[in-house]
Amino acid sequence: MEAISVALTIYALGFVITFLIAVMIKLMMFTIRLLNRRKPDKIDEALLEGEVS
Amino acid sequence: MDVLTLFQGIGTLVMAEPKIAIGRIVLVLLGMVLVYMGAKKYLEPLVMIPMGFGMSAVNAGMLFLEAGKVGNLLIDPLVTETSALVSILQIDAFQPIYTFAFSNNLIACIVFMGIGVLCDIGYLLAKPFTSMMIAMFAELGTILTFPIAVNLFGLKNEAAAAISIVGGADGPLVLFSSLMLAPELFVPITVIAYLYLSLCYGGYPYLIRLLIPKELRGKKIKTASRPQVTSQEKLMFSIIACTVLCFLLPAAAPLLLCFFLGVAIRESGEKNYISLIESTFLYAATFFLGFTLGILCDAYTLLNPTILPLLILGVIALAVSGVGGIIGGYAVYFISHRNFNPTIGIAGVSCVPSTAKIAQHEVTAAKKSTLIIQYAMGACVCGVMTSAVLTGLYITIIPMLR
Repeated sequence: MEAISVALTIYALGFVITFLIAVMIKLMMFTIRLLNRRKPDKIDEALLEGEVS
Repeated sequence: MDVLTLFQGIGTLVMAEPKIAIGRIVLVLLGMVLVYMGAKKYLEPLVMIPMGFGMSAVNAGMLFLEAGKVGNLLIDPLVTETSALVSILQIDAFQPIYTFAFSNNLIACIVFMGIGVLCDIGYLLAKPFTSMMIAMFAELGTILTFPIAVNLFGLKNEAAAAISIVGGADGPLVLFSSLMLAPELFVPITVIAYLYLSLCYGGYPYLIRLLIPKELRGKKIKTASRPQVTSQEKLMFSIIACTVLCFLLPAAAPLLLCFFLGVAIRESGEKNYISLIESTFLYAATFFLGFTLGILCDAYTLLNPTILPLLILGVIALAVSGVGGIIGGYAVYFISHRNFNPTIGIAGVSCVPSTAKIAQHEVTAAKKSTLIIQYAMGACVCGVMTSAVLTGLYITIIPMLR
């Protein structure tokens, strides 16, 4: 019985860790895309203020 | 002069006890069969050809060493005492490769780096939950084999965990875990694992045909648009995932580091590095991996009573993982309102990129125009990650049970 509970514990922990990795991937992709979307705005602002020619 | 003393390969065979003599002859013949099967592409040729040669040569080339002991001049994997090891390093031709590159997992790490360079993680980043779910289902063998090994075969926790990792279908991880958990079974477990991983090529297509009807195997996945993931995103993911996983599972850090470094090098576009790792490191490591495995297969090492349970458990682990992967494929199929091909599930078993290729091959056989390789590679890469996670968990948790 102990072996079964150990195996199930490992499987449950594995599920939790992989779920967290999946969440991390989603968050990371969201952040990267959010930051990338902001870039053109910043360039526009800089152009308006004459900082970039 | 006695003929048997002159030709010691034959002399040691004649003088050996029948079990060993028969074992040597069988292994010599098996080595030849492996070379043939590898050359004909029935089994993985990159591993099987050097392995078969090594296996035949080591079992043929036995001789009488000092004090009437029988051995070979290729390798001695069982030597542990430092002064004896230093002597062996000067005598046995391939002992340096075993001691300095194989038994410390260096070859496995290089193979993992090569796998990282080959892997496109685009689909994994676009659909992480789907890929991870399939991969976790495909770890069923890694989980179920452990209680079977302990309760039915009476193996110790460490040995049971080491053989269970075969279900993850990742050679380097099996090598790593057996070294960490059951070094006394390192040679047989590693040899069994690599033999069986090559057999995936032959066995999994039948499993797919048995469990998935033809119309489902040929099913196309309808997508509104192809998921776009940039190299920058993949690069950032590789460094973040590597760091986070190393925090969580330091025991698997060498393998995680090498895998994600490979991914990062691929995505950085450094052509010189990519070419160096892909065409030099990976092939060299795979060659020496196969070759070293072959010369480890001498009858004296393999013919011990612990091997039979390991042989059975290895089959159970891989078969259950295959079935688990297909169950995962079906689970995603139903969750996504039947817009998924369950054959992709087998790719979650990892064994990059063999299982993904098997999945695509079976799908093409069912319907020529269906392309699932990008989805299969996503599941395959996740299989590597989940195998690394479960290996790390086994390595961390099992020693706590002592």
